Amino acid sequence: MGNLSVLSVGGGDITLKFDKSNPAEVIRAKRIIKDMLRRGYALLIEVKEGEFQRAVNFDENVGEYIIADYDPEEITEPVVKLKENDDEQEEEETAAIEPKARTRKANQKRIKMENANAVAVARSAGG
Amino acid sequence: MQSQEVLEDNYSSTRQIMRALGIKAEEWCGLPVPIADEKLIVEPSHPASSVYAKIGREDPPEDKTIINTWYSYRHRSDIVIYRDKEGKLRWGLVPGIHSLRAAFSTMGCSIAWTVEEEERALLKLSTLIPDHLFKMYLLSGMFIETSKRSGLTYIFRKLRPTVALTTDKTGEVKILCALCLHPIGYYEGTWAGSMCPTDDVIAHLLMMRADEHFYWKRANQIRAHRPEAGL
Repeated sequence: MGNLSVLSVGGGDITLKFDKSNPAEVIRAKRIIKDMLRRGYALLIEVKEGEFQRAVNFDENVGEYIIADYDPEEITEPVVKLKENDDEQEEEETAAIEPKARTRKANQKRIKMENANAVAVARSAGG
Repeated sequence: MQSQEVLEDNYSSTRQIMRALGIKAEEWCGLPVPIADEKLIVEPSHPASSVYAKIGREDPPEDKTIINTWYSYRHRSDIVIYRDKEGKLRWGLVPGIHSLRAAFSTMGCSIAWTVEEEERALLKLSTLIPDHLFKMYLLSGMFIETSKRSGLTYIFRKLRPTVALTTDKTGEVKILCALCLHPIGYYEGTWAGSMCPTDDVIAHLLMMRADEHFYWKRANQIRAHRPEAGL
């Protein structure tokens, strides 16, 4: 049985369980997942133990998360463009420091919601 | 062990009301708890963000228009160019947040959370990281993990931004920046988010593991020398 835990205020970590023997619960779960994606939640699906991928979409008809299945890649040195001059103007928050841009060639992979453990994280306000 | 009554405070009714409102409004992640004298910044696309903007500390009315702002290493402050109400261009220094003040405010924000929700978050975190790292987190409030994708090392910290580190060819470790991210909202001028501290740490960890590029895009990247980085 799959589940979706939602990081939330107040109640702490709340969990929705998907039991396919209960059609009403499955319909409700599908509606919640679709609504979360519409509201900009990051749905992080556990693809292997401890390994997660972000769902880019959800197929409501078949109840499957659609994740980007990236090609395996080697560790590469990150691109660092820190500015060192005094009084230099900082750039906007799309800063110049980032892990090296990957060639984001991705196939789509589907994971049934009943088989997946997922964590939902609400949109970020920054900080 | 203290009883539930002892652990409750004056804010328990506010938290309960916000929890009930969150369920009623079908806000799956709940509604942040407003705190008197703290400005709660809620993610702008949240339906209640404009309501939250009117609650808490009031900023004095602006009688100047900001033209440009940048950070000065020499002055350790932001330099601001602004136009005053007479239309004259002026400049001034705005010092960064003071770590001590931010620490005091962060302590005050703990009334927004409950011990129970932090306990649940700790249980969740214990299933996500190895035992020795969980012990490290319990005892020091931080743990370390290296990304399999980029090779960058991250120090995930309770109530402080995550530190991103890299190692150059000579083996020297460098701080890239501190990554600040709070799901739904945060209290301005503090390191506190609307969720309990360990839920914020879980959000950082899982976003890094699931989609590092997305994590960097969503987080505010704070340079290590700035006080907001908490270093």
